[in-house]
Amino acid sequence: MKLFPYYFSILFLISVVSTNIYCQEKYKIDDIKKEILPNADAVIRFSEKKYEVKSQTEVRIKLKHSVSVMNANGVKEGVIIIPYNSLTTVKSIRATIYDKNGKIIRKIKKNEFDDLSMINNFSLFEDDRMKRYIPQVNILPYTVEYECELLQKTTIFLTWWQPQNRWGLAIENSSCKLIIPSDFLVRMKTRGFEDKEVSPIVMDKKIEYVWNIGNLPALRDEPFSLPIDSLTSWVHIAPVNFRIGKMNGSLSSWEDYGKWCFDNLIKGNDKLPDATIFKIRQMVKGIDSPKEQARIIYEYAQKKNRYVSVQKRKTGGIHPMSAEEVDNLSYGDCKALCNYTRALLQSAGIKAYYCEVYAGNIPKSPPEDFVNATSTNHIILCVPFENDTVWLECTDDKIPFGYLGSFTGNRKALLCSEDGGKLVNTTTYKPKNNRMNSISEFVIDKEGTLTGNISIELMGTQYEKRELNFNGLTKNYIEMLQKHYNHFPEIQINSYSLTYNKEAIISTENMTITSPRFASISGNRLYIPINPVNPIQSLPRDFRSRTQNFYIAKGFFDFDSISYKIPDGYIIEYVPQNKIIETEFGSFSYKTSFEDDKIIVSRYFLLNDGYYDKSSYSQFFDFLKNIHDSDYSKIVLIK
Amino acid sequence: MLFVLHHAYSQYEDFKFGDINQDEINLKVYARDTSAKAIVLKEFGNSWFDNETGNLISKKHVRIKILDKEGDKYANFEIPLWKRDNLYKENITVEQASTFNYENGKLVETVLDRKNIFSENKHNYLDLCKFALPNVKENSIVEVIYSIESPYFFNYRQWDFQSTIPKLESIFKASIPANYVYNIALKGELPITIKNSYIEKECFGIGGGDSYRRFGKSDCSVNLWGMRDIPAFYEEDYMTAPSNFISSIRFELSEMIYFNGSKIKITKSWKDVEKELKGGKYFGKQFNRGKEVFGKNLDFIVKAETDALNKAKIIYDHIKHHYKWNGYYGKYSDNIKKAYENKTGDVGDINLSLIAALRLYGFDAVPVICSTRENGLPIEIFPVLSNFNYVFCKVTINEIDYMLDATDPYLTFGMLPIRCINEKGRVITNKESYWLNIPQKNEIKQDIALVLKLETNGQLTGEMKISSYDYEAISIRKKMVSFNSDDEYIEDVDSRVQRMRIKDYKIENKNDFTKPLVEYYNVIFENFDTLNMDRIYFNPFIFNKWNENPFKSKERLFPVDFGAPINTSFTLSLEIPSDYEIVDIPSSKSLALPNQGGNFSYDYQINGNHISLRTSFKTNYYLYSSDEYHYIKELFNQVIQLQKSDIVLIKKST
Repeated sequence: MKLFPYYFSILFLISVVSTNIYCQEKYKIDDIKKEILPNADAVIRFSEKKYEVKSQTEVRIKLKHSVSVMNANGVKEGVIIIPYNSLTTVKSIRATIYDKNGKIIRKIKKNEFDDLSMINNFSLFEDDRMKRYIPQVNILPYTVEYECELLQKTTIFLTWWQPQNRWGLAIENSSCKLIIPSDFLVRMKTRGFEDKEVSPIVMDKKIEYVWNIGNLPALRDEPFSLPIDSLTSWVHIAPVNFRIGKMNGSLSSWEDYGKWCFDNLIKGNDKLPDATIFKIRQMVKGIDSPKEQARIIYEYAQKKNRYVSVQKRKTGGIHPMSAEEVDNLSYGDCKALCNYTRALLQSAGIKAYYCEVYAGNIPKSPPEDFVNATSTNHIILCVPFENDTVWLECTDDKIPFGYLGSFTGNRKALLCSEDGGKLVNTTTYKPKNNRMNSISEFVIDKEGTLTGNISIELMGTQYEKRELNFNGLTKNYIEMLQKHYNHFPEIQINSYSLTYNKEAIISTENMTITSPRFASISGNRLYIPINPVNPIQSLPRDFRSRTQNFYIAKGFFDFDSISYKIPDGYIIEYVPQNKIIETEFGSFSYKTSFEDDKIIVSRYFLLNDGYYDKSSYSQFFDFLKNIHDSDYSKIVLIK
Repeated sequence: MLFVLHHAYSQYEDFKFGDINQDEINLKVYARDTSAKAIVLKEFGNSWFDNETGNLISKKHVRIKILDKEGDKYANFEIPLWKRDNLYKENITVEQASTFNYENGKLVETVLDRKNIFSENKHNYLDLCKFALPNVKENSIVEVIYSIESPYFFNYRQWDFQSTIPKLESIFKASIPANYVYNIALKGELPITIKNSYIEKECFGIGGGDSYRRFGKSDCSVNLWGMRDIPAFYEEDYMTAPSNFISSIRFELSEMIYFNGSKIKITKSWKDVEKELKGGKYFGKQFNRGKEVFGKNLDFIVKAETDALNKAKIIYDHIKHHYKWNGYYGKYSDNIKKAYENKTGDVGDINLSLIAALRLYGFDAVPVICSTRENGLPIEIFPVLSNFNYVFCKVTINEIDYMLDATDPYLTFGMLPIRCINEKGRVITNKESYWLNIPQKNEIKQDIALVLKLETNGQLTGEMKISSYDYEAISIRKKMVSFNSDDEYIEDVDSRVQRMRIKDYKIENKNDFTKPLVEYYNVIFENFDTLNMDRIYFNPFIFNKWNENPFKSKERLFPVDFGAPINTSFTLSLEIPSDYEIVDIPSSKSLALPNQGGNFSYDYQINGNHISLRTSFKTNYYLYSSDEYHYIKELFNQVIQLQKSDIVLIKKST
């Protein structure tokens, strides 16, 4: 599953630039108010972003920005990065570096900036580039100021302003200004300005909006934090009508935008060669169930194609490669592969919808009340059948038919069709369905060596916890297993299998292992770690004073049973007490029972999804600590 | 006779494009490495100088079988092309590129469409040529021929025999005109099994057309090296640069003879290299311009000091704190004066400044050029200057040698950063240069001492002292500056160590890098819910504990390299409630690595209701051969097993 590097990313990434030097020593570090300094790695001293829409093909952006780098963590905040591409050009850029007393250390001209491409992984074509300058200052703290002007040739994305977009960033003063022609319609969504009414200033044929914030202390990065978007202020502005390349479009409603996407990106772009259509029809001939037909076609496309990122920007990177081209090349990006798979399904009379979605482990949905083109970054297919709806991820050749997982599950997607667009829910994964069942049977001998087998079933989002396509126990795979089962001090894998039930979407791991010196011997005693199979890996950081609310995004349900046959001559001296814990965060139980010379440990752990107040963090931590205590306790045998 | 000879070589000529045999079609799994996702079936490289332009042409022909869908990324090509500007740059020609699929008993060829070849302008000095072959599936065979034309004849392209996938055959043919002499070095463990060389008469005459009539043509020596059944290269933990171990062949231009007969030696012997370096504008000229750069600027900080060693330390500290390293390596400096004014520079700028400053005050300071760990080891048999990417300073004071590096403010006098601890460096002295085994006198060292009392409410309270030295101190000090205050740092420590609460703290020598960093904590551990138990199991190994063995593989192909010796100790002094007694405690243990390689020891003492216990773990070297691997692994195993044992306390019967 792969993202297409987002063509809109430019505005999210732009965070900077500088002011004229009207007075000396305006950036004294001592002038920063003490109240905003705790946890601040960097402080934005002054920031002004101005967006001026001149026409549908001309948006002038002016940035003035200064930031004080307070400590080593803040150094990255002082790095100037101005992304640009063929739709956005950098007109001017300059920077100045100041020491902690506000004295100028250096002035940097445009030609001193590095000019780099922004592609990290293999991608055939993208034109995302950046201007970058990395200040080299020996003595902390220091201040970086810059100023730049950009020209953007489209209106599809307008303004995303979020001054406090990182942990550890304090704000002295930041503002955003939008100037539009009075006949240019925009819609906006804001957070944190509810009580501060922003009234537009109407001038001659122009309307101006201004937002201001300041005096904000830094936010600390804490475990289970909510995404920073839901904690700090921002302004998001989208046009009602936009132009990108040669296309005009409308963002007046999701319905309109979804229809625009269909009409401009899909329609006519989904033609297949006759031979392919014939081949597909032959393939599904005689199969009655449309769902079964879809599965065959999907698996055919998976086998035929591979994911290669190709972002052609003629139309801003949103136009998929034609179905015919994919048919020839057998590769494409998410847009191309979805468009192609949709065309294949269509040729067999199966209706599938091209859907824009935000992909990432933390679910985010396009807001119902704010139509915009920038809250998604991936494409999937939606295939409605009579009794259920199947969602298809088209960029991965290993994932089962109908599986989205944590990459795009549990959120809303924009379904694009000729009848208009709408926001629809993707597959829902409830914690109880994200299951792992493990059954282990072990024998411990007198030397402390453990032998036995482990059998594990994985369902729901836990399906992703293992390779999606196991084909043989390679050196790398063994190393991966050894790292995964790191609670065995040493693990030898005697046999191993990982099988998939792609229809039910369950994977099953079976292995037999030997672990020398698993139990440790000291004097007359033998210590057996109670849960080497599936203990919680570590506790989160435990802050004495939590500053923010928290949430659990990935709930799951694990059930584990582990039995130990103990060596002759030993008797049980100690086993940990049984436990049942019920909390609002989930439940946990631990039980040991005995059967002849066997000790059976049964454990379950249910973690709920949800949002919680910061005041309950200590209870949540205690809950996890309690589980951790049990998972890392030992059975003690004595001779 | 000549004809026959030629015929014999011809089996090592390039193979025919698309001439795929049944064995290649049938190959589904590579028996020697069943995990291979793709395999190079054949590979032929050929480099020569173009008669017209004098440019170096490197042609590569490769045929790859995609064995598994996950191997399809080997059908994506990304070829780096270096450039200085639009005129002086490398150019690529993709001559042929196709995918072959075996369908219904015949081979079907899909040709790469030229419009799907892309060029990415990565940055000012690098372009990438990229293409993905069409129609690639499991069992596809992809075949590509491309040639790169390069004006950089200094860098005869190296040839890697080994890659991340196995190869059935890899052959490289280098045709070198007699007017160029290269030093050639083979790296890696794998032997060359195919080897040939012959002279090709009058093969190269620069200028094209008739100009050879004026200057004549030169002969070329043609060398051919090859290997078969080359295993894939796998990286392991705790190893230095893969380039140290990958089998490859490398070239360095050593001399050039112009057609008019004049000869330029590029690199020949260390003697030549020394001369070039010492007289060089970017090396020797730089570190001898101390007077011009520093003038009398340093006098006021140095003058008062009479002791030579202290004087050197003052100069070192000054340079170290004056500069902000820009993160780049290098052994040269364009201009140390400019760097000094800008207060920033690369390794060459900073360390050559240091040498210049020391020399200005009469010290015997000389440069040592070396290769960083990730850059690989320099070739020793002859000087390959391009192997060296780093320079530091060696200064001799009262007959003692000190290695100095001023690029990292946290380093102390005589300490080198781990990045340049890579076996050997070459000392460029005033007289003859020589190899130096770069000493690693510094350790990753930490001592933790805990004095605890087990309270009747189940809490452990007491004091902890953490003393960190050398590299461990550096890493903690670097961590500390990422917080705005000590309080924030301590809150972070407190939140990370489970069950431990820091009530109070004191940090010593935070800014005095010459002394160990000492952290004192008043701590509480929540350990037991209640002490209303008859029997208590208490694990005393609270710190410096290895939970898992970092060495998991059965075997090891490459040396284990920690970068610096590890030296840790943990002391616990524990007072237990008077109504409990100790019934079991792990027995003392002492283990050693062979050849004084290191040891682990654990010992305890019981005195009434007082237990004291000490563990220490020490590796005496930073580098261990792969033969020693299983001893190291076993040492860790034993330590881990011991650290899982508990102290058992029981309530005294009253």
